[in-house]
Amino acid sequence: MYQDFSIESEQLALIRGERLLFKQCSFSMKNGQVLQIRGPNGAGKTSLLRVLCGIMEPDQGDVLWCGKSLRKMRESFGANVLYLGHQIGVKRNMTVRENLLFYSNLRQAKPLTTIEEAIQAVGLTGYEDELAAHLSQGQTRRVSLARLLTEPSALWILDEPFVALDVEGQGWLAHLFEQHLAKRGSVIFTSHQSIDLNVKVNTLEVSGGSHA
Amino acid sequence: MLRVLVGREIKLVFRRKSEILNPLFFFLIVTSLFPFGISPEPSVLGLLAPGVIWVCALLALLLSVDALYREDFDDGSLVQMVMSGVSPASIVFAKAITNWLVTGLPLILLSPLLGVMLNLDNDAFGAMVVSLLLGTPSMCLIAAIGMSLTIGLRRGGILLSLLVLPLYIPILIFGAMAVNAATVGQEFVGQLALLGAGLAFTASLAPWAAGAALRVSLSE
Repeated sequence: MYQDFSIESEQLALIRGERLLFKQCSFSMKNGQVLQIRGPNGAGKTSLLRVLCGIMEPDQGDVLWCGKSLRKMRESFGANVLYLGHQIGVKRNMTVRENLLFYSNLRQAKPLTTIEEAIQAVGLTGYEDELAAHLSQGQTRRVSLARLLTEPSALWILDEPFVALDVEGQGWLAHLFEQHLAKRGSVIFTSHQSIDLNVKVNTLEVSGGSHA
Repeated sequence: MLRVLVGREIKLVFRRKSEILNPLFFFLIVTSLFPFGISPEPSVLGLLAPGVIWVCALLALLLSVDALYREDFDDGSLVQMVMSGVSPASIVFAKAITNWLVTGLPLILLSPLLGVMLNLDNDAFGAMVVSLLLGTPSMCLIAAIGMSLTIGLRRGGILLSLLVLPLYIPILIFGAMAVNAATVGQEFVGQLALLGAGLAFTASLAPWAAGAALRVSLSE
């Protein structure tokens, strides 16, 4: 069971160069909800996620975490949110186990599952001590997804988590979403495909691409 | 926290050995070319030795810094670390410590050998080692600021040198001055004290400045 949290955005707008990626982007979210962000390529889905994570500053509006501006809540936000971006931060020169161990040590949180169990769950048994450089793209993606298990966080913010996964992996991830929601966790993710979940998926359309 | 970060950096550096060895080879090769280019005359070399060793150490350090940051930026590790609740200041501090341990310290260990080769005055070896011990950590910390500012740029190399070299110059001046003073038998505690003060200053402020710069670079 995760702590209560809420994340809201108020009239977010982001300009990149001459292009207005999105404006008046508002939503709010609490425990146990799923939000899928959809939109064509280049619409600004990844940028929106980066703004929600506090990595990028919006040009207008603000992201509120538990009612307060994200900038003032970095510590609580970091402890409760797991963001897996486009570049997933799996080191090629470290083994699967070392990658997972490093991030879970950084968080200093008690893992629900051990690293061995997580590696098994993502189907990488036998690859524990293999350098990530020797893994395929899909397998590297699985390494980063194993962090969802080893670093318990209430809110998952995932950028295209289904990309590079095989059919079985996609099914497994959807199932993981459901388990996470049952524990009152939440997921924000971007994807082009529609995902079959036995819970309601809210969607947010990002159109973007107009000139500022 | 810092131990976890430094442990990871050191592990990664040792898996890409060429990156530790390149700056050290650079240091050795450039210093040993001077006698060929200028004069093998011992008295001339002894005169040049303090400056040559200091300049080469400075350039070798500058050469070593890019590798520590570039890959972590490109593969998203820096963002992941910041998102794991680690303050950017501790990330850059850990990188500066690693930078010093794997490049700065070996440079200092090599320097007496080069001192012998360049006919450095016997009395100046102590001053050289101590001045490098005080000066190189400051340079690693200053490089961390420069790297954090320029990491988002595709060709940040030249800009990094432009940003960092003016800040290296005082360290170079006092470092080489201390060794020079020792060769002529003068007191050199004053120069070392200034280097120490510089280290205290950079160690207490540079991580914060570099951390703030890193946050800005990541937001692009």
